[in-house]
Amino acid sequence: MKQTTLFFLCLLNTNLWAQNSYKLGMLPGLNINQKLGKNWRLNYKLESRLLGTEGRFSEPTPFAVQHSLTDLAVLSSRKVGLNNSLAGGYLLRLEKGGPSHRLIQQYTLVRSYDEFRLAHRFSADQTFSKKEAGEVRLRYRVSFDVPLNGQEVDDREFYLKINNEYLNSLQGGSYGLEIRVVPSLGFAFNDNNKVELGIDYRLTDFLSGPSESCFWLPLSWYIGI
Amino acid sequence: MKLLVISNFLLFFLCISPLIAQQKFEKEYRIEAADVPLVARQFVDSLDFGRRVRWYREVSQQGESIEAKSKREGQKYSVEFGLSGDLQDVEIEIAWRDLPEALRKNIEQSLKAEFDRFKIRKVQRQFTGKSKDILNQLRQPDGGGDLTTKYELVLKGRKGGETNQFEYTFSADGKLEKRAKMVFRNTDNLEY
Repeated sequence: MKQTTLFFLCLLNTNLWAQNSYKLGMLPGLNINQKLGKNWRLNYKLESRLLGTEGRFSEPTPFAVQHSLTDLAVLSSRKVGLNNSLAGGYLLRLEKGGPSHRLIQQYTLVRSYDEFRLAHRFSADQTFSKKEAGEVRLRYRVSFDVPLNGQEVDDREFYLKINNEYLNSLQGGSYGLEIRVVPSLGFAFNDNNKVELGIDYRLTDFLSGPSESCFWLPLSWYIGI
Repeated sequence: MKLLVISNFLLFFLCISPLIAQQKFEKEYRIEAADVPLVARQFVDSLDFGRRVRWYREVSQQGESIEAKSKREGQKYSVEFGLSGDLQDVEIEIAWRDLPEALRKNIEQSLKAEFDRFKIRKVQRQFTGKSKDILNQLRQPDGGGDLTTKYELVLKGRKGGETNQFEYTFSADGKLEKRAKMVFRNTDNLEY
């Protein structure tokens, strides 16, 4: 009980909070999924990170949008059951200081219920670049989407989607945990054409010292072809 | 660099826009009880659902209908009407083990002939007939009347190395009447 009280007091301590840093920006993205036969699919992803501002909570800095990085990824996935699939692919990250390369493996399980859908994603990735030590991550994400009208998302309808992800990373011998929560409002033009706008909150480095909070505004377009 | 990002997006949009085809039109949405024909509301009121009733309107190329959904004594009810409030059917979700043993055996025999392996996920008992007879049946099971009873099963079936989800309809004595493969909605936005 004492520990819990202490934990909340620490959270409320404004001096400590002031030491924590933040980032604020946008994440426009395009996600194209191509069917290849009965069980195979290809996923192409283009996502950019546009940084608006960053600093410490105690010293806010002016807002000036600048391009931070661009990710280009391709994943090949195979359906391995009724609602589950295995995927693997490659991501190229273009940013100042040189590119980095990431290998991705993932297993997803999607279950439809009467009024919502729930997806579990277990993934691993390995990132390599010349400027930093290699990084290995193990990730788990749970996603949920629910129509805002009726029992399923029909054409030209809005829906709510919430992602919650836990990322364990190992880089240069040090362990890090990142937590992401992404509530989004989606609009389905049809089942193969959806747009989502949300708030992507990422909390990092909170185990080892002053944390970093990132607030991104993701604008994602999902297209199935 | 910013220009490069924007031009990339525009290029993608231009390339894929002709590929986004229109799909068949099908829509269902919530409606208020006040927008439901009185005769349908009265029928549902007489079922004494002790909890909220959700009303939906379904629009498809096959036509339009109105559906009420609620729960009674732990069972999910779905009552379907025509637009003028004429009762079409009542479906009640039940447990597989609650079906009579002889009926379960007949259904299992049919399914074993269809699949290498199957798993039943949902069972609904469906009543069609005059609203008075259906009401009697729901108030007092086996209360007689001229009713047609059918069973709708949602199941996962595996055959020839391929697993799919199906909806099967059986008659009251377990004869296979209809089968349909279920199509899942796109899950890309949940997977990537």
